[in-house]
Amino acid sequence: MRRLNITAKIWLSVGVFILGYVLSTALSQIQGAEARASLRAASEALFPAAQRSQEAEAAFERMVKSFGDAVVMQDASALDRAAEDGQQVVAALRAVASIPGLAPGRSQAAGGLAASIERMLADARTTYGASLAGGLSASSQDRMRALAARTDEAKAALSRTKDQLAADLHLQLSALEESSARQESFGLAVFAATLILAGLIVHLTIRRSITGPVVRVIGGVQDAANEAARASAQTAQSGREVSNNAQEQAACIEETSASLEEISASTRQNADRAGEADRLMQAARQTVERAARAMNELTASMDLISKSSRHVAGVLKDIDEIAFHTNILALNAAVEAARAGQAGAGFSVVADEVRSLAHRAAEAACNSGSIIERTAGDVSKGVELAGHAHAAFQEVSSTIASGTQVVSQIASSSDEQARAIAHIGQAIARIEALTQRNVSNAQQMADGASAMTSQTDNTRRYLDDLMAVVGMRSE
Amino acid sequence: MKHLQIFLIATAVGICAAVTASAADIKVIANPNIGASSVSADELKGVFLVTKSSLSDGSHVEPVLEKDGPVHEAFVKEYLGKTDSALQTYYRSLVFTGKAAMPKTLAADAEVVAYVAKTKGAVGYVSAAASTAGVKTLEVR
Repeated sequence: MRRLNITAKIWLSVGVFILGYVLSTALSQIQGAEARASLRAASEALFPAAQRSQEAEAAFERMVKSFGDAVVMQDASALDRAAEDGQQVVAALRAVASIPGLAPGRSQAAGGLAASIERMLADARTTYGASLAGGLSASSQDRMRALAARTDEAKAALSRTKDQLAADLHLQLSALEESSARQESFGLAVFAATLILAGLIVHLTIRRSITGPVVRVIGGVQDAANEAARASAQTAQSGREVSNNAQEQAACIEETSASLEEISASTRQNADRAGEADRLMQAARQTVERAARAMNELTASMDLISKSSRHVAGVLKDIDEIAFHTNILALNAAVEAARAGQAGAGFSVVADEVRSLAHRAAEAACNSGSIIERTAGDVSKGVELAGHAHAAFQEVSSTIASGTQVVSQIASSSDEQARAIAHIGQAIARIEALTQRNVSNAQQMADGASAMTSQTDNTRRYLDDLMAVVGMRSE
Repeated sequence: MKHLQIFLIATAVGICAAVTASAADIKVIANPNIGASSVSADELKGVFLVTKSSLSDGSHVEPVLEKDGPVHEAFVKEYLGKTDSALQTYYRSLVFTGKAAMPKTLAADAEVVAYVAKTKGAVGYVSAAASTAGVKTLEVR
């Protein structure tokens, strides 16, 4: 079935339809023949049988009534009428039994009943005739009772036979009617089944070979279009984002570049200042060295002052000794003046004056000595302080030397830094150029994605048209 | 014309009264084994038309008739509402259909009394003057 092409499948469905039609026609022919045969059987056998059995029953009723009349009314002529009716009953039943095509059971029953009624008829004539002639003796009454029972039995059997034959006829006619109805419905069912089968094949053919594949293709293309639409929308979005980001990036790079230039300028300025600091440090070192030398000279001067002070002290000692000896001399002169009396009075005054001068000289020498000692102490303190200052200057000098070294290092680092920053500036310039190209590329990408989206929309419209053609509803 | 009709009817009634006995001249008798001492007219009719084979007290009954005669005529007319020939036809139809046998029919009162006296359940009728030795007389209500 799957290997056949569409044309073959459609022809197959038409063939199935024609085959079903022919089949249903043939079946109705066959069943019509059966129905005709059944109708013939009913009209030729059962219908006359039912009719004759009814006649037999009616004649039997008449016969019984005539016998009754004979007995009850004591009417001898009624016996003859009863005999005639009885003969009619027997004849009708024999006619039923001899109908060809009747069921064997029914024929036998009718024949048996005919014989039984014939026998009963003979007995009845005898018995009822005797009752007419000789009155109702006890034995006669017994026979009549027996006959009454037989009559009832025969009547029941006859009624049964008539009912059975009528039922057979009714059954046959009902069966015929049912068969006819069944035949009609069967023909209709076969026709409908054929129609449904053919329709089903056509439907399946169209669905599997035309609609199905088209629907599958539509589904696939629709999915692809949806996917492409999503992807292009996403791409457009990404392109726009990339473009925006690149523009922002370019702005950042410009800012970074400007900052780098500022940093570069600062770095150069730092390098210059570091060089200047180096020079200043050199000058400070020289100044400190000069100060150190001045301190050395100061120390030497202080030593000289100290030595001069010690010389002054020796002189003062000599002056003190002179004053002491002068005082002793004055005392001696006073003693000599006292011994010399009046003559010596004037001399004693001079001697006193000399002695006070000696005293004053001794005091002055003593005062000068203490001043010189103080001065010597101050000088040695100054020498010590000058030593301290010298050591401090030495430390300052070494610190300045270290500072000079550090400043030199700073200057060289600043130079290196300036060079590195220059490199960075070049790199950033390149990045800026690349970013500009990225911006234009992203813009182009977004434009391309937009074009793709519009193409996808066109594809969807075409798909909707195709879906309408194959009877699908667009989602 | 009207006078003639009245005359004829009166004559007929007079003749009938002269030749037939009345209910007062009939006694209904029964075998002493029957417990009841009275019987209703309907029951009596049922017994003689063979539609009843027992009385209301449960005792089995069998009718006994007299042959033609004023007592019989009077009984049939008074209690059964029929003529003798109609009653005979009725009995024959019962016999023909096998429903019953002809009831016992006896010639005179004495025979009836004798039969009733010796037959259990027998019910008969005799003239009021007849001797009823050995049987019991039933009052008809």
